[in-house]
Amino acid sequence: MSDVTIERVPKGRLGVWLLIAGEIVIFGGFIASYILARLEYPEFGSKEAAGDLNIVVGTVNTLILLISNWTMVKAHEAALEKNVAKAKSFMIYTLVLGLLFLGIKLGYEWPTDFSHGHTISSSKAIADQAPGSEVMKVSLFWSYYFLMTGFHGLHIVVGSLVIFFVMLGISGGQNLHRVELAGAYWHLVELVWVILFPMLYLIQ
Amino acid sequence: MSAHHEQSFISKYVFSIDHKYIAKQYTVTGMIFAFIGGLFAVAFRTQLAWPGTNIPFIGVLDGMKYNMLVTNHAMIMFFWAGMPILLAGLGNFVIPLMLGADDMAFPKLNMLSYWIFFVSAVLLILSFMAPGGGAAGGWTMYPPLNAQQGVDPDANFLVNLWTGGSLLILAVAVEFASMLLGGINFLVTSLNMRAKGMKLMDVPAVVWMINLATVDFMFSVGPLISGAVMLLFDRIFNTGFYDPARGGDPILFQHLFWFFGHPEVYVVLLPAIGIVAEIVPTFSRKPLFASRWIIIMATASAFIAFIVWAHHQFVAGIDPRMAEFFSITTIIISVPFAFIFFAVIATMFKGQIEVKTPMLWALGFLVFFLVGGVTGIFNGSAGLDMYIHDTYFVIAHFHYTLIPAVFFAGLAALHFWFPKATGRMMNETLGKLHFWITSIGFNMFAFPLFFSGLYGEHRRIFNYSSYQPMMADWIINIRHVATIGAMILAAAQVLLFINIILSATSGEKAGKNPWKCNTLEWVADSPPPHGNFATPPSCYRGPYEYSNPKRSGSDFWPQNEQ
Amino acid sequence: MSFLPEAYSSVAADIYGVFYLIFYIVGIWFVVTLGALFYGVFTSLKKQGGKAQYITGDDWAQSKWIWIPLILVFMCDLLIDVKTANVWTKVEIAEKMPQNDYDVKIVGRQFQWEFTYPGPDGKLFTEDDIQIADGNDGELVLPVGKITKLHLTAADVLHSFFVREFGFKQDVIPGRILTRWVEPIKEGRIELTCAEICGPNHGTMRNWVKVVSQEEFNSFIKNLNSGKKVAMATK
Ligand code: HEM
Ligand SMILES: [Cu+2]
Ligand SMILES: [Cu+2]
Repeated sequence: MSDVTIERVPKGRLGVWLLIAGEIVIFGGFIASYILARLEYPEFGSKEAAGDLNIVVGTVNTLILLISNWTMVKAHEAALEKNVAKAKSFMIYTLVLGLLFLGIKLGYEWPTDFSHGHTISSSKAIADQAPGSEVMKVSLFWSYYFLMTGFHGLHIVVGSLVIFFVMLGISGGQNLHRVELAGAYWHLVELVWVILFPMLYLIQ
Repeated sequence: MSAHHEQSFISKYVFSIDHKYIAKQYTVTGMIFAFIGGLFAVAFRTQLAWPGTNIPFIGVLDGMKYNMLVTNHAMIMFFWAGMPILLAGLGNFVIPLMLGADDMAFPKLNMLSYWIFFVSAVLLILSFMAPGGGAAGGWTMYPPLNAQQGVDPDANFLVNLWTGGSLLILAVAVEFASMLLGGINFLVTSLNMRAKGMKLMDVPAVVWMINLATVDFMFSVGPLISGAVMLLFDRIFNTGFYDPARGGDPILFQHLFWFFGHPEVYVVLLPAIGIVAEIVPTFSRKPLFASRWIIIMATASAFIAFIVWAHHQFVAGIDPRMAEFFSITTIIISVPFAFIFFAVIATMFKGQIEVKTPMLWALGFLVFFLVGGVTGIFNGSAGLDMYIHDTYFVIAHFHYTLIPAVFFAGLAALHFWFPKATGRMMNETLGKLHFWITSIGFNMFAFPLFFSGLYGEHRRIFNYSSYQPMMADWIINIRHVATIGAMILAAAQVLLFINIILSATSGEKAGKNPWKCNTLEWVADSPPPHGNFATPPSCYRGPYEYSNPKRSGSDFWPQNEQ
Repeated sequence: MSFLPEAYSSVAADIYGVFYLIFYIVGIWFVVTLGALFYGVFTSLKKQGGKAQYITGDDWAQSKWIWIPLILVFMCDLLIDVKTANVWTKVEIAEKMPQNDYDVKIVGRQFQWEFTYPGPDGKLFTEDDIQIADGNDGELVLPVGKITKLHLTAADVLHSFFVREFGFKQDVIPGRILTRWVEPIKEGRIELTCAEICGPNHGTMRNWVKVVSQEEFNSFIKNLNSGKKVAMATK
């Protein structure tokens, strides 16, 4: 009877796509919560809240991530050409840029925020001092900010580790298809940031 | 024992990557937890029937301990019994075998999933040992209560992490991660590793249902994971995401929870329906009635499952107009399920039914689930739910859906695939006795609760003596009957235990295909060796060609035979 | 014998009406479906002999046996939807709320209920409001035959205002005031319970609603205002 064979996507790619889909839904939960809170408190966009964020640094970081995605695309291209050395060097660029992003975030931005008195739980001190005040509602913004950038940072770490281990694994010219998978995950990390950046920094 | 021997023992029995063995690991773990969850229920039911009873190992239940047992009963039943048995255990066993594959797409990931699940179980157990005991704020974990209970806002975060509530949240999150990874494996395997010639509509219903359940799970769990992280942060980092005094919103959590919570019910229910859809045709020797439409309807219900969640929140203070929308979607979701139900019944008409134990459990599922299904309409209609919400009517309703799904369909599956998994048949007499006692216990436990619920007995109350109407004689009698029923239900499981042990060691040899079934798993040896099939089978037709007149000499037509 | 409690509010009968409508519709379906199931099984047993028929259910002649019932199910669903939406609208939708005669604020707190009545100025949410808490005097007193608006909120965690005989419940939320209304139709003393888990003593969070005649209610308010019977005044 029939001898139908089904159009089949390589299983690794399919698996990573599904993983990415799952992750998007998780971020979706954070983002939806943030949007709901923000609809309730338009103050989130005000000077008192997001005013202390440094848009310039944020933009630089966004560019860094964008470039790192480009280098990752390059690494993928090199992998398709079976050019291990080239793929590896582009992966190293990606890693360096990823770490640079993380360094700026954790080493400069967060400490600056802390020095302004913003922490993930700063709403507590404010609520104790001035219950019901406008400032208090605004401080919820910072809880979301640290929550979401922190969670995103975690994904940068995981993504970098994945890239690192994939890089080690392709030395002998085998497993080159994994470069694409690591790249797909890295794109997710970037995609999330591209959504977070305007939501947190720009829309004021 | 040589070192080499040691090695192979571990990779064979502990860190196995064989899907059949992982399936057994999930199933056995799940059954142990189901039993624990059941004992919890017996314990708190005992308190309800005879308040102040000294319960072994736990003592007299006060409000806190009672809430703790109820909370963890539900958590265990859903996440450490229902899902591991019906989704992970069953899925791991049947998906590769029924598709004619040698294993899952990612065997190592599969092993990892189980061990992550194992870690979650350890976290769950740790949560009972934390100071202050296990979580006790209801399985729905609603804040602000669950953001506060057991938490000391001035203590450092490790102290607050080491509390029942925080550990339970963590345990659930880890469990979700495990099931997510497992789910990826299921979907990729089903999409990619079907036998040659197997079209999507040739895939057996149970595999379809498990995959639909997986999709429901994967695309609903995200918001709850983020919601749970925020709840955990409220507990340990003093954030105020859900604290109205600090601008947060407690209702937000309810939405995140139920956006997952309703599909989660389908995660348990769809595989159960799938099991029944395999067993009924096999034992009726007839094709599954309108099987294509069953799949379509199940898919439809899996999607509608995403737009009914707020029916759990009619009286929670959401916008009343929103409640009206959700009431309508909820009642409409009865349509696809009614179709599936009718079709399964139609399958039996004019068949040649043999009521072996798997069929008996499947019939039990149909009869009892019908009670749960029709009573869902009561809860789903907002105009009535404002009265019966959070009463024992609801408890009775969802136990009439979940116990048939987890226990009846689960046991149908166990009796059906046991010969394949072990190579031996289960004992019919013991199996039937077990069925009848379980059914009696279950109905004694659950049915009377409809009536006390209608009278307004509200749930999660450790002692009704504060409430005069709830101390009427007939209500007290109901409490006694329900508790004795729960005890019978729990005790009956000893028969299951005996049956499993006896049959696994000395049951009749099963042979390859004891039920004369069409699907591909019956082509493999019983039990199938590592790698499953000697030669990869091809597929030539759908799975339900029973009594086809074109086939002479036999009333079944295996998928792999030309 | 009815298992539903006696109706004490003007809407309880409507709410119970939804119950009976669903009960009869669903009851018929339940009996018919179960009947079909058992008929199917007991007329098709193998021990009766014969041969299984090859029925796939793929063509209309066969599948109409389930499509037609399915359409009927759908129509029943719509009927229920309409009825339940009507009752829901009547009880819950703010614009449909009838003009009220009285106001009372109700606060759930671990693990008791507090009631605040308007003070001498007759208005709620003003300086002179009078709050009564648990204890013998702390019952919710409502006049029969009059519409009272309930302003519901919570002080700490979620609770749920549930009076069985009124036929409905409403969760109360800290930081939010929800309004519902009730028109008691019968005098008597009925239980007010908490129907949302709120901590270890959730199981004992019980108070009473006293539905009294207009005269009794007037004198209750008068006593309240003269400070005779009452606990304390709050902001
Ligand atoms: C051995 C069989 C079982 C018995 C005797 C039993 C008994 C009960 C009872 C009496 C309650 C209500 C407690 C209260 O509100 O005070 C309850 C709650 C619950 N049960 Fe079960 N149950 C059983 C099996 C299951 C199963 C298989 C599931 C799900 C898969 C389940 C899920 C739940 C849930 C979700 C709750 C609500 C818990 C809460 O209010 O937080 N139960 N059970
Ligand atoms: Cu639901
Ligand atoms: Cu309560």
